[in-house]
Amino acid sequence: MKQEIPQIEIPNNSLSLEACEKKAEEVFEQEKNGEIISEIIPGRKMPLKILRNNLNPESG
Amino acid sequence: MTFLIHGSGMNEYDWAPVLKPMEEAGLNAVTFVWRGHSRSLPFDKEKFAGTGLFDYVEDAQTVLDKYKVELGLADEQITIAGHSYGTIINSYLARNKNYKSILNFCAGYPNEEFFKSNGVDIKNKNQLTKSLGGLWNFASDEYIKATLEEAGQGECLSNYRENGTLESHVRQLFNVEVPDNYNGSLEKLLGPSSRKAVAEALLDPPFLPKRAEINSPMHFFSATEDKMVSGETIKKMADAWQGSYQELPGPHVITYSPYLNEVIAEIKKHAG
Repeated sequence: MKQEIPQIEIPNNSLSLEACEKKAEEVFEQEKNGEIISEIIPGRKMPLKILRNNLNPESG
Repeated sequence: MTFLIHGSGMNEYDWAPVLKPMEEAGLNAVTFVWRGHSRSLPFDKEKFAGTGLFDYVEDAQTVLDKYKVELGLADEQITIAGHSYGTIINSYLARNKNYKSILNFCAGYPNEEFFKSNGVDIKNKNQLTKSLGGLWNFASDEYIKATLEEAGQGECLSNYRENGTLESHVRQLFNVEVPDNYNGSLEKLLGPSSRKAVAEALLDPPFLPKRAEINSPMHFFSATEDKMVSGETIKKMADAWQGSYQELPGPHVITYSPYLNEVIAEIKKHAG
């Protein structure tokens, strides 16, 4: 008997594209303004990009 | 410190919205971008050639070690959070270590019907992967089409198409060479039995660490409103890995998720 392969349902609860872009822009702005820190370090074949917050050595 | 690892096809901005709220809560947080996936670094096709999972693991280890040394941290002070395919990297980083918590935000995982209809008995499988969500995407022409259309309009998944990062996963898992600029599905590459191959790879990937190698507490989160994810299946995986399980609203594609606050709350709870 031939088995029926279930079809994929694409999630429909994502944000609108406009809302996604707005969120992404907020993050790019944070990087540009230095609210979040961007670093590039050497990797084995390619440089590695890091994003982080302002690290506090006291908080571990 | 919380170390945040993005998923397949994503970039450095996936976890970026988490960084500021973590800082405001007094918690250190670091994320990075897998090689070849950056939205802002130039892509080098020659250097990227042959890249696979273990290269991404190596990148993650490099970054984790750097901040562990800089902050003078013990393993017990480190929480690692991965999204989707990033949870696989989690498991490699956690091998034979005693981290505070390993958080697996699972996404894009097929439901049990997928396994049953492809002749794979989920009840007899104990060595379960966590969330090879990307593979599920590869299995279907219609999903690939949707993701590529999305990539054409938004930032999400853009490197699947532009950099061919999808190919690196296929090569790793199925030992299949992918033609240059391939934009199709795994179904087309592997032929009619591809869904069975995907189902088997999802349940019993030979390259994953074994449960006995993981000493850190594992926590699994599924996105209940994401129809690609079966909470029941993720719960079984959590049980197999002796980890906790919790349903969250989804999707979890972090930058773009309307449920970002729920995700951040969970990370704070486990990392704080």
